[in-house]
Amino acid sequence: MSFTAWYYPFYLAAVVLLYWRLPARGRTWLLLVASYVFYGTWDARFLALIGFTTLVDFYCVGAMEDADRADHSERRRWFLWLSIVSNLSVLFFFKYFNFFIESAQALLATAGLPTERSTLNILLPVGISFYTFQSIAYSVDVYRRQIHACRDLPLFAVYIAYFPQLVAGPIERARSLLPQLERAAVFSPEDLHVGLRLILVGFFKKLFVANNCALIANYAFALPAPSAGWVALGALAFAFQIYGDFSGYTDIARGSARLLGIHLTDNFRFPYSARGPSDFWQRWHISLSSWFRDYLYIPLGGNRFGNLITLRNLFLTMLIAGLWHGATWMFVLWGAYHGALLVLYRVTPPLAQLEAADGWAKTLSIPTMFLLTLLGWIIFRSADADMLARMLGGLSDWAGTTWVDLKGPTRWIALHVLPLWLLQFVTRKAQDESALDGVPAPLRGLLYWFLFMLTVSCITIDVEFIYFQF
Amino acid sequence: MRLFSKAFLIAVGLWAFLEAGAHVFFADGILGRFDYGYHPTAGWFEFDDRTELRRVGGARFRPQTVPKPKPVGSARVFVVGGSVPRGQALETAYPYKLGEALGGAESYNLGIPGYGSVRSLILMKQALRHDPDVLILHLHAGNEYEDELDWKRAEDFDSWHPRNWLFKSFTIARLYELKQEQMYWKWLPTEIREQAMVHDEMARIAEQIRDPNSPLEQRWQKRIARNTERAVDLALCNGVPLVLVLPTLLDRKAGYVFDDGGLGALAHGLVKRPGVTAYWPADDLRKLTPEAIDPLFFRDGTHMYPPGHAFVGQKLAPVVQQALKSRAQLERQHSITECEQTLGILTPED
Repeated sequence: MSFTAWYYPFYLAAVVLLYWRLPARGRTWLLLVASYVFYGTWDARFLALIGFTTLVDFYCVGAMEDADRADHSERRRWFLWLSIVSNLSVLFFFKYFNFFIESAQALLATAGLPTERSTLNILLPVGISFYTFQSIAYSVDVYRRQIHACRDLPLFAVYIAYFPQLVAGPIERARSLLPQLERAAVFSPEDLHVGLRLILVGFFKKLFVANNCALIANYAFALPAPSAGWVALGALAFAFQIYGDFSGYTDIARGSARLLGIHLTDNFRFPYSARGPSDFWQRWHISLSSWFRDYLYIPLGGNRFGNLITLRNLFLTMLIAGLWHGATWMFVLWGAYHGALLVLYRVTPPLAQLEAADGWAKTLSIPTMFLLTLLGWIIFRSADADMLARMLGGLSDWAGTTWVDLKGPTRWIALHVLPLWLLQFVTRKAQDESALDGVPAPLRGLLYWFLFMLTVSCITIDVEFIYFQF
Repeated sequence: MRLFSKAFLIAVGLWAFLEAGAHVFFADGILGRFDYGYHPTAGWFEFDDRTELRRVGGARFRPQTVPKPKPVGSARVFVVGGSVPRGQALETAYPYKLGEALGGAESYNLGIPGYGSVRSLILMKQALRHDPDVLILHLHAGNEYEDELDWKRAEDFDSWHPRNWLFKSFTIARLYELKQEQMYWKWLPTEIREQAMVHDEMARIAEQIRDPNSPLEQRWQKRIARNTERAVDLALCNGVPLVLVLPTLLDRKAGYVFDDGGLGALAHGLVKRPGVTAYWPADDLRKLTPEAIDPLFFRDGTHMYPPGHAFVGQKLAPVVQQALKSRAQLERQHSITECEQTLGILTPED
């Protein structure tokens, strides 16, 4: 079930109404059933996979903590690795098996060695990258003694499969989500207000901003010989498509969870206002970048072993973060590009100063980073090296398209991005980019109406969420 | 804290206020606003002494008034079709010129852009309820796609499926229509619109429309043939002569060649029936030199400028005169309702 399915609001309303009428234990079971139904509507077969991940981690982590109490450090470590390896095996098999086989075959073919076709017809389970990472984080946190193992199987199953954030995050930490699922929350009108507001803003970002920008982006990236104008428009449109799509999903997820009294992590914080790559990753897909920081970058050594090792760790982390997005070399290249940017900003003092500077310097640092981000999105959106070469090659063709050709699409992008900009201008001082609490009630009411009308004007343009494929 | 916040109540109140305001102050503009082309009386606003031709969903008739009852001694002609008979203005389009050439006969222009064979049949049903002496059906092979699109629109606005509940609000439906029907079409190049049709079904259609041999295109050809035969049956059942006007597709690159979109054979078969005649504008246009045709006659390969309309109106008049004379020999076979019942409710599947 997708958030944009017409029946999702009815489904959510039914779950919310039932939820607040049940005792704490009943709520856990309700959320479990609701989450499995939500996921099962895509492909019920993959419920078995979620069930497998849940059971393995529940018993491994429980056994890990028991081993800790009994002071069996070797056994404790063994269960941690069992949990991590089982999660990564599932992820590797379903997401990366064919990619590595095909890459190896291509390498052998380049070397002139014989190869045989041996890929499998594997379907990618929706949201697998998100829930496996959430599960790994739980195992590692228990191993690090930052949290206790969850001894309640239905509760833990809800933690893994909690429907608002199951398929595209935010990747929640157990220390934040599990206690909220466990306690008997009391209904609060504030949760209702904030939840509905987040859902409205989320649908606005997805249906109005992202889906409409997708029309231009899809066209520009499919052109056989795009001109510089179309490359620029395509990259710009894709930048707002992916931002509206993903942050819109996050807002709907957070809003849906909030209606159930649960606070999910904020995932975006005005990412296109970033002053440099480091700042960007503290604003874009925050739950993923903090996951990589805590479970990869820091274990690799972080910045504790000198400059060179730090640069290596940064680059390697971004390379793997790129691969996390999808099993293609384009995502790896995108990760490498962002890794290179992080390294470049770190080793070039003027750039580092530019990123750190405040005040008027921001008028230079923000557009610079935005342009660099656009270049990254061209890599990210390109399906293969040919498309990337076409797009980058098009940047030199300034005579191929006239303003008359681009005027309509430019107005189209402006029409769909300006209301978002207006919304973010209003919320710019808030930590949460969807927060409108500081706005006087009449203006807020006007904004709600405005956003609602814009959203429903695009209600039938049906484009799937981009991050579902990851 | 209250269950509903002040801001929420303001937003809902604003919506309710605008909705009520639209219904109170713009009642006339709301009436029939979302009666798209499959509504049996879309665009026909009945009064005791007249029928006014106004809006059909997002499109419009050329505004005209049909007196009730028909004035004694008047000859009444309805021209049914798409954008070609509609022309650039009521007074310069060929239905009007035809009326002048017939010596002041009532000649009504029922041309609406994009109307294909199904919706033309629906228009014919209404025209036959207004006591015509002759019906003219302007055939066109390229509007079946638009008929299907309009069916989807009609479903969106008329259906009570929960997916469409929001469209029961006039302000929402109007905004949605404005976005999809106006900005969408004006600001985006054709290729982008075709790549990303509003409905999946439309995307599938757009893909096939480029291939003249696609199953869809063949299905449409069959549909045009079947519906044209039904139009003939309907007119003759009511004892009204029917004139078929064939499309005139101009190919300049091939040396000013005219084509009838493959509908000639169909018309040749139908004119064997008493009361049915056909007119090929191409027959008269071929007698002209390219210099006479361009730049005055054709806007593109299909649509004409006023001189082209005037030319067709003049040449069509003798054919219609003949049809008017033949009316006396035709007899009504059944009542209007009984004739209509043979058609049933029309959908794109017809």
